Amino acid sequence: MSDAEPLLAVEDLRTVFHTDREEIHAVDGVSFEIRAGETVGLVGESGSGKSVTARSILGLVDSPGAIEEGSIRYRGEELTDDSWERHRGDIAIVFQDPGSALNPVYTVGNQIREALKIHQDLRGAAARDRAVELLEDVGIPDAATRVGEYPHQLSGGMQQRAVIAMALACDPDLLVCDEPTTALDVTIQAQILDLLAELQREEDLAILFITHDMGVIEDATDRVNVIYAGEVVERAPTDALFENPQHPYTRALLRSIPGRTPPDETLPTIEGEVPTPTGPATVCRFAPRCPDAFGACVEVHPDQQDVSEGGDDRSAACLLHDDRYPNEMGTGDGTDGGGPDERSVAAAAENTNYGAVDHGGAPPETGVAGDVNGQGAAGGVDDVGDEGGGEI
Amino acid sequence: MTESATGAGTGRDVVATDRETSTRGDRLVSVRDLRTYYDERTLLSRSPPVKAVDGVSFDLFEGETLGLVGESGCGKTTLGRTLVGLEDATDGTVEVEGRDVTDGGDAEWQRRVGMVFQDPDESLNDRQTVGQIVREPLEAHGWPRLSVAVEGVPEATVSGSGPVVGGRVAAGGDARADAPSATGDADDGPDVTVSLGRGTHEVSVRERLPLTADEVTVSVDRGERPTVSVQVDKSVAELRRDRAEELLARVGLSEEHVRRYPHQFSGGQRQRVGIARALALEPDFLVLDEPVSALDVSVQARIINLLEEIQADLGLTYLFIAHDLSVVRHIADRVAVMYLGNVVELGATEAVFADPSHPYTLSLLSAIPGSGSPWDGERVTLRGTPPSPRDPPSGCPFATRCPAKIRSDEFDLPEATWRALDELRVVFRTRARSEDSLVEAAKALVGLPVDAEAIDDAVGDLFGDRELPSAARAVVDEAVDLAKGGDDRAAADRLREAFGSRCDAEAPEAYATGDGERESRCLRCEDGYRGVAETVADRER
Repeated sequence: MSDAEPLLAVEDLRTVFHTDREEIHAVDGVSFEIRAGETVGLVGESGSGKSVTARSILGLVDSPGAIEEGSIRYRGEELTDDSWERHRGDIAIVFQDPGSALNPVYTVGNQIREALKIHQDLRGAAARDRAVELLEDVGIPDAATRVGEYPHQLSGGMQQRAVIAMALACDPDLLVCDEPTTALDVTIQAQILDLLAELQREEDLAILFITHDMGVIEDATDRVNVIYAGEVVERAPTDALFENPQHPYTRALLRSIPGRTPPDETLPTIEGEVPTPTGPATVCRFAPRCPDAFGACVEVHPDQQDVSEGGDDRSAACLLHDDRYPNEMGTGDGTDGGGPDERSVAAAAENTNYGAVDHGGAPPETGVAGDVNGQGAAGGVDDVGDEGGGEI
Repeated sequence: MTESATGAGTGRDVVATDRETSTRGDRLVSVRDLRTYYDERTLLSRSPPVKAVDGVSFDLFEGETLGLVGESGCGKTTLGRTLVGLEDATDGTVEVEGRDVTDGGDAEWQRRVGMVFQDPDESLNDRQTVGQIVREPLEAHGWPRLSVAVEGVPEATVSGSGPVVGGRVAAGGDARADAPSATGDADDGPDVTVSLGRGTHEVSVRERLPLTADEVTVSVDRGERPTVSVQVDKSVAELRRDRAEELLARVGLSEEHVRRYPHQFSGGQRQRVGIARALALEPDFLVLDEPVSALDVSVQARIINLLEEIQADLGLTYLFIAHDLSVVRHIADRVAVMYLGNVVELGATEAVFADPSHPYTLSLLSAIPGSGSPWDGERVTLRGTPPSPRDPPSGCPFATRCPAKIRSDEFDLPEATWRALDELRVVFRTRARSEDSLVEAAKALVGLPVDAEAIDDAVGDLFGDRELPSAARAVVDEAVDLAKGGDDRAAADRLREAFGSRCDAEAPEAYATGDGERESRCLRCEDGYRGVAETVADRER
């Protein structure tokens, strides 16, 4: 909205994992921006590439993964291996499971003091006082006692507060929160969401909020990016997205949440699974599961199309919004109707390079992950037209 | 126009009420004052038992889904496991149709109840094929033992081989001679029925068996008391294999999945296998322990739909345990809200969600993020975490965090000060709990100084610039001195004595609220107190 330079700009990020059998394009051309003091959401199902995006931003992608393309700019400066070191303290991350983010053999205070020593060069009594202060800031009661306790002595919610305190110890401008409330109970989740909002107000912190929970996205973020199979399929201001989703995947995802469907109705579902992207995208990866797909969807790769209404900056990567590919669905807003000729979509999808994982072991029509390593790879493509048989 | 619109509206209401009453079947399970404690006393530790389930009573009616919600550690899983006999109850009873099944030794109940676990990764044996997994309960229970009924004569002797149960049969009855457990539900009728006519006989087989009448050979030796010998042309192994395939088909998996291993499946498919296994012995009642929590939302929706479909087809009763209230709202007819081992509110789901009468239910509902939440009021963020189930508070279990707690009449303090006092007490209680550790106990024994500075810090943090009336200030100072003297428990008790109310002293009984079908364990349900929602709204302002 403002012309000010974004704090973080991710452009066309591509992170690929090379395994013996195939290469997995976990993040495949993701672009977004975060400005100071705002919360940007990244929402998607498991395997959609949202956590890999977070790790890419923090330079935490290890072999066999590598960032192959794209740029990540922090305050306009390209983050390369050298500059990452320099900005280590500017971007901090909060992981999903506080239990594994804390070292069980050191006290909470020890771990915060360690961060303070590295990033703020604080030692001794000064570091201790600051550690207590940070624990108080994140709402831990009796912080002066708690600072000397071990992680197992704290409850899950208190542990996550301690992790946030550790993240704050380096005085970051950007906090990357990767499913920070997923392991917590709903009342504790509410506390952590309140805390993040409060910290943001006080410290003008920018937050990248990664989660699969649409409810959390709705409450916690200003703008949101919906990610599917490594690609951002829709980006919009949060309110606008929930009011009027423009991508068929966003629509389907929102509809399958129990709270949004009257209790006596059957929940609408999305058949098939998120495919594992094993090659560059040449067509729409959602097409095999899409109720609105038409012929062109399995022939061309959809670009982000501007779907702004009344000045809110938003876009969707869907041919329904692309004037170059007219279809009988018209504008394609919302109706579940008719659907495409599934057979032709499936047949065409067969020729593309995703979902190919399956052909190694399992019969193609089953959707069972044929991956010997037991990773949850599954071919959504092949499920089309299989009437509820081997889906999921 | 207006008239017809009103008419239609009323019509819908009537239908809805009908549906509501018709879903309430006969009472299936009665739980009375059930307690399950985990006692881990060893030579070295004298810690009190974990009171996971601490006096729970409710009924389950045939064909309904009862949702059981609460935060982790509230005892909901233990309650479910106690119902199916996986944990031993410490006290109280579980009755099924008048029979006491509390101790899990009841073979008939074992067959009639199934359980689906949260994490299919851990509940399925990765070294067994899916077929073996689903067959396992069949093998464990010696399935099948086919009961035979003979019709058309007053009395007959049945001789059978293989899976057929022999014995004497009175007209129309089953052969039950030496059959400790038959295959299906006795109410569903016998597995094989032989009708004797004049010189002919007809055979019919119960629908849900993987067996047709053609696969049963019957020969009749007529006499004064006919002897009917029944032979099944399928082996026990074949019957079990066919049953497993049928079950997998029931949950949406196909034949070729039988010989695969769990790791070859996605999370949703693994949960389907878990459901098929639970259905193997034709149960009437399923305990579903967080069956969709580990799944993505689109997969979750499919499993929820499957569970609803199976329930409608087979007439099952569900206890659906979940922490996700939106899921429970979707699937459950009634809901029980659990906190610290107690069911604090119980009633029809829509009624409870529309107008919660316990402050904990209200807080839970208001914490659901997003517009999918049934709550449209302000969010009430609970302070702190639930107390330890080893050391539950005296009085109401929720009193330490309650946003609508009844205040003592002795002091007239602003809301923020009350909260600071509550919090200080929680600080002392928490410190008291860590005193149980060996190091702390040793320190207290040898009279080492307690970290007085930390206490002053905590008090300063809470009361900083708050004005306290002198009487209140005196109590706080007294408690702080006790804590500095090393006795945090006494400090907490001092605060409770001075600032506590009925909520700290009395464990509330279950009050009938709403339409009388609902109950809530909150003292505010008594006459003369302001309602929960009003009070909370007022205090949060």
